Amino acid sequence: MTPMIHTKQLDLDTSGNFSVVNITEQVRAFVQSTGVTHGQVLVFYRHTTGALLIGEHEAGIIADLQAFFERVVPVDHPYFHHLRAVDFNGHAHVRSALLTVTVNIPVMNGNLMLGTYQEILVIDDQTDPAPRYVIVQMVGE
Amino acid sequence: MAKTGALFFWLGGVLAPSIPDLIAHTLFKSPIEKVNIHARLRTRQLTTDLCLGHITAEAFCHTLIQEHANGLTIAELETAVKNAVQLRGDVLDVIAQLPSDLERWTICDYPKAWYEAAIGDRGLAEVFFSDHILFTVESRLSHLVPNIFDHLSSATGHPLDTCLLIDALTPRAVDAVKHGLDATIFVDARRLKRDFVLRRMLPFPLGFVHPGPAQQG
Repeated sequence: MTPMIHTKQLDLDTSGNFSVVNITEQVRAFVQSTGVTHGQVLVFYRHTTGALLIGEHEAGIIADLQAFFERVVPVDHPYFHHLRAVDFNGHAHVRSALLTVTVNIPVMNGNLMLGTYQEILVIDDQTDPAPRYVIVQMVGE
Repeated sequence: MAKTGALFFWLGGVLAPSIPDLIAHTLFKSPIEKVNIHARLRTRQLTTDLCLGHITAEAFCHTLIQEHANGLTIAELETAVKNAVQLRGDVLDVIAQLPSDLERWTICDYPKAWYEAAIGDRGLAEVFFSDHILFTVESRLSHLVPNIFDHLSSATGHPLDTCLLIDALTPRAVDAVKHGLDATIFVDARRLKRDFVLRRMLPFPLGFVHPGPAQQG
C-alpha cells in the first residue's frame, strides 16, 4: 500500500525571548484530521533561533532550562554573529544549534504515542517577535 | 518548599477566555495565532494597559477599532466581547473538588464592568468566595510583571512561597517561579486536575501510578 502524506503549517502565537509554546493539541488534531492511523508525524520548526523539545510543559522546568542556557549560552556575550550588525541574537542561534528543529512521533491507531508527561514544545528564542511557523507532516497508512 | 496556602487563578485564559482571545474572535474573526503579528502584539500591549487600569475599556476598544479600520462601534465591540465570554465549566468542576481549607482567589484581568456583565457571581460562586477576587485594574501597579506577584501576597496576607499561581500564559508563570511563587501552566482541565493530584491536593484516582523520586518524568 502506498503511504499517505499530509502536510500542514501551524502558526504560533509567541513573542520570542525563550517563549515556550505547547503545540501538542494542534499536532494531535492534525494527525486525527488526516485519517491516517499508523505511521509517523514529523514536526519541523522552520527557524534558526529556536527549537523543538519533547518535555513537560511545567513552569519550573522552563525556568531551569532558561537558567541553564543563560549559564552556558548567555544572552549578553560578544557573539561573532553580531559583527554583521544585522541582528544581535547570537545566543539564540547557538542555543538552537545545541537543540533540534525536528521531532518524529510514532502514531498508532490514530494516537500520538507520547508518554504521560511528554508534550511537544516549541522554544522561540528570537529577540524581536516575528511570525513563527511549524510544519507537521503525517506519513502512514 | 512551603505548604501551599492559597491558589490564584487568572480569570483570562484559565477560568474564561483571555482578552486577546476574545478580541481575536470578535474583532479579527480568527484564532489568535492567525492574527497578523503586529496586530497581535499591539492587542497584547493594549490588554496589559487595560488590565492595569492605564486605559479604559472604551479607550481600549476605540484604539483597536481605529487601528484596524473595523466597522464596529465601541459599544458593538464591547457587547460582542461580553457575549463571547464563557466560563470553563470543566475547570470549575476540577476546582470544586479541592479541599475547602485551600484558599482560592480569582485574579480578574477583565475591566470590572465586563466582569459584572459577563460573569458576575454566576458559576464562580460555587467554587470561589465572592470576596476572594482581585481586580488587576484596582491594583495601582505600574507594571504587571513582576509587580503582580508581590501584590497577590500583600493583598491576601499569604507569603509568596505559599502562593500557587494558575496561569495560561507560560512566560508569566515562569516569571512567577523565578520570583519565588509556585506556578502551574494551565493547558486544559484534565492537565490541571493531574497537576493537583501530583501536588497531593486531590486524591489519586484508581490506577494512577504516582512517580516516586526515582521514577519521576
